[in-house]
Amino acid sequence: MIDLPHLQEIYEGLSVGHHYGPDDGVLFDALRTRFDDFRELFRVLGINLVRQEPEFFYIDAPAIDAARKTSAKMTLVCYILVDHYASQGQSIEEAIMGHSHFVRNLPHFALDRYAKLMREVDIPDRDTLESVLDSMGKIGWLKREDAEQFRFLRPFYRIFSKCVQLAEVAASERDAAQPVNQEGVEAE
Amino acid sequence: MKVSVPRFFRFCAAHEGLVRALTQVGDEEVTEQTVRGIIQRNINAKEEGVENIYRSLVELQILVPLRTERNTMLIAQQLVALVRYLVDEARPATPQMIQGYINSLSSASGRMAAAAEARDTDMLSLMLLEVRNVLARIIRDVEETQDTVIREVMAFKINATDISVKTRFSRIVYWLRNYAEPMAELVRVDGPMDATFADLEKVLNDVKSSTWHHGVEQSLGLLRTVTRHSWHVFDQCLKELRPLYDAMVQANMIATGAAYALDKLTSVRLKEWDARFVVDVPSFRQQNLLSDTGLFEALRRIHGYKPRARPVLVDSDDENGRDSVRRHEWINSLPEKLAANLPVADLCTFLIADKPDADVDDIVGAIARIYYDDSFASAFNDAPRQQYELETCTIGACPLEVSLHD
Repeated sequence: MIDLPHLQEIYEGLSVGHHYGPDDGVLFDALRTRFDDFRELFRVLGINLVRQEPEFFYIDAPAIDAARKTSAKMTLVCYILVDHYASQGQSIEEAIMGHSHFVRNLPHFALDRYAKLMREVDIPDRDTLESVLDSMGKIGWLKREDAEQFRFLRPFYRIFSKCVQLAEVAASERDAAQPVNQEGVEAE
Repeated sequence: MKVSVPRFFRFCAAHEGLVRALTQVGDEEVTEQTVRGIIQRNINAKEEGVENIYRSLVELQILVPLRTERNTMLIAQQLVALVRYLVDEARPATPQMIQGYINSLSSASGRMAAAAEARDTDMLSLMLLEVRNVLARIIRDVEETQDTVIREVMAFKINATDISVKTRFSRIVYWLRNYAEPMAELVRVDGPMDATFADLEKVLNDVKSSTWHHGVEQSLGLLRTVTRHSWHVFDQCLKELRPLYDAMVQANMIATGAAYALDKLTSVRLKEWDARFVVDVPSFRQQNLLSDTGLFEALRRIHGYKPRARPVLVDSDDENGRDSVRRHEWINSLPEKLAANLPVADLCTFLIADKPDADVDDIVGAIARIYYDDSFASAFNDAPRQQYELETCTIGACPLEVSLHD
């Protein structure tokens, strides 16, 4: 007999990509306090339950088919937001996580460059962007405060982590592209 | 020429904007034309006249002519220092400047030792004065550096907007790499400053023990103060800058990663971008699977299942319906019968023998059933066309040979 609190609810959420953070109340508390037990149970089932700081929980597995397309859309929406705030000079983390966002103020269609990228992943207009935000709401990445306003939740840190990882890739690509002279010294 | 102190300060008070603008030039050489431009921009030219003001600047020795071919001049550095002092404006000392002071002290130390050995008290006095001056300059410069770094840190924190993450990161890296870190390296324990100061302290102690000089004790005290103060100041600078640097490193990496991902979206195939740049959010629910309700209903039916006898076809009152059912049953029974008699050289003969009252519909239906059954291999052999007598008619066909499929 498996005796884990809210197991069914938690599994149902995780299996559809939900990320559990403090806004999930007792389900989050259950994962937090019995994380090792949950992880072990899911491990036996071939599922990798991840705990990431600042504390939140999700299943690490490849997305396929429709989930993959949705993942791509959500990821791009986030990357554009990071890029936008990086060029504004604000602390990216503070700007994204520290404030509520108005849907109408999102930068995704303010620049032609962004709009073009959005079309690449099949987000041609604001209505589609809204539906992507809805998807992000369903998996616990953001919380709607009203029809116009929302705030990002802790799982957005997956994007920050991915960005750091990509920056390292970019740096190693740059290093590899540096011409090296005969003494093995990289050219300026 | 002596400058009238009251006149100097009256002029500065009446032309504060101009004086500040001139001191902004610092220690750079300027032409007369440049100076006149600065005057023009900072006074009411109609009331006072550029020429009058220019003449006053020369008379008050605020402008120091250099007698060069280009007729250039300097702004009096005493005035520059005075204004900086008054407005609390600090200029950071570079590591090269501090290194210069260290070299200067090292040299003075050697000369002081020689003077002490020669008991040359005049030279000793000069050397002690030089040492104290250099030490005082070090104190002043490290303090100015600390002021500048603190000012920069505050500006960095207050002016959070309008400057990109990359630019902000570059600024912090600039201060850290060019000032705080090299300075801390210079003044650290066992560093270049420490070594020079140890030598100097030894010389001063030797001087103190061999000859009395009132400046020795004072210099020793100053030397110890400078050592402690310099280390404290640059340690503080590092403590101010390090957290910002760490935060900016992270922010810079986040910005770089996002920009890299966006850039690649247009330069690699979407499939590759998906694989390398997308944060996966899996969903174990697949499309077109039974819903939970459907699954539950299916399980409920299994749970409540009771075995029953095979349903028996009820003879229809309709004659055609009965024939159709019987034909269907006969045709379905054929594969088993045929399999027991393989190979069969002529399927039609076999069928008529099995069902003598078969009509055309029965024969055609049976041939189609056997011909398309994958367990049999059916082929027309080379025998000539045959006539087959049925109860209702005669049909003509080539014999169809049937064997077991390989």
